[in-house]
Amino acid sequence: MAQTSRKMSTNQIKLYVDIFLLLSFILVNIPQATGIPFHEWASVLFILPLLIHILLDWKWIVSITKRMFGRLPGEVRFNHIFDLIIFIMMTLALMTGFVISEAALPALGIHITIDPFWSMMHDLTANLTMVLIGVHLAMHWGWIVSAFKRYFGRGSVSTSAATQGTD
Amino acid sequence: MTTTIRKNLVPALLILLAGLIVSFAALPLENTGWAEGIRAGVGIGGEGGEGLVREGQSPAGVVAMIGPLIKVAALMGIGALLTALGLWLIRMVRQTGSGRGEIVEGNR
Repeated sequence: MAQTSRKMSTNQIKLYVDIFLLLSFILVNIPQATGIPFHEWASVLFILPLLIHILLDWKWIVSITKRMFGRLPGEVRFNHIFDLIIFIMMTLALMTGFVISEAALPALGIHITIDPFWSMMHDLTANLTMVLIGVHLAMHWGWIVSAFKRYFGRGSVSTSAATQGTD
Repeated sequence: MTTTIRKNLVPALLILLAGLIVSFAALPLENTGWAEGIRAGVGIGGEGGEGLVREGQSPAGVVAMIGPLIKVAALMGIGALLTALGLWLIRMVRQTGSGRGEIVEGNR
């Protein structure tokens, strides 16, 4: 019984993953402060929480993709298309980052000549992704606020409190 | 744990595959006239990314972190504000529309 109450809900896991993802996203996007080597290695590691973020909503993604050409509320359709655009933009930012790598790839013994075109594309896609993430956050603001209130707000039932209650 | 990994393995591979497809699809862009124009403007071998702390240099202090953080906050803020404005406008239009609908219904 205690084990059941200690188990986190999917929404709680989503919230923790999302907080970690947002903080990593901000950290990855300030190479002027953190330095290029940290920026590059952190970007490689950033793929993992991003993957988990997508996997946690995989059922929703599959279900909406199947109904994409059927009847769907406008907001849901917009979110689905918009999420796909963010995915493409983030992938491009990561890919262009690899192509202009100054620390990660040379550390692995791969030396490349930096192409100004990919450098410019990296800046462009990274900046665009930041704007798109702002839109993404605003579109899901209702969920963010309610999840925060539920798990961090006053009177929220924390996992430890829940465990104590059942124990 | 094993079940969770097994359950998510195929979707994870699909996501990575989609990422690879997007990446490879973008590669031919480097042969376009647009890319040539950028190269001609900057000069081949130009590094770009001004203000970056490169390898061997020590990262900036806490004070110097504020500038980049402001940039991230501003860009994300622009997106969020525009969305909030858009959503507010849509709500207003819908309210006005439903209000008119009621008047028309009432007239009938």
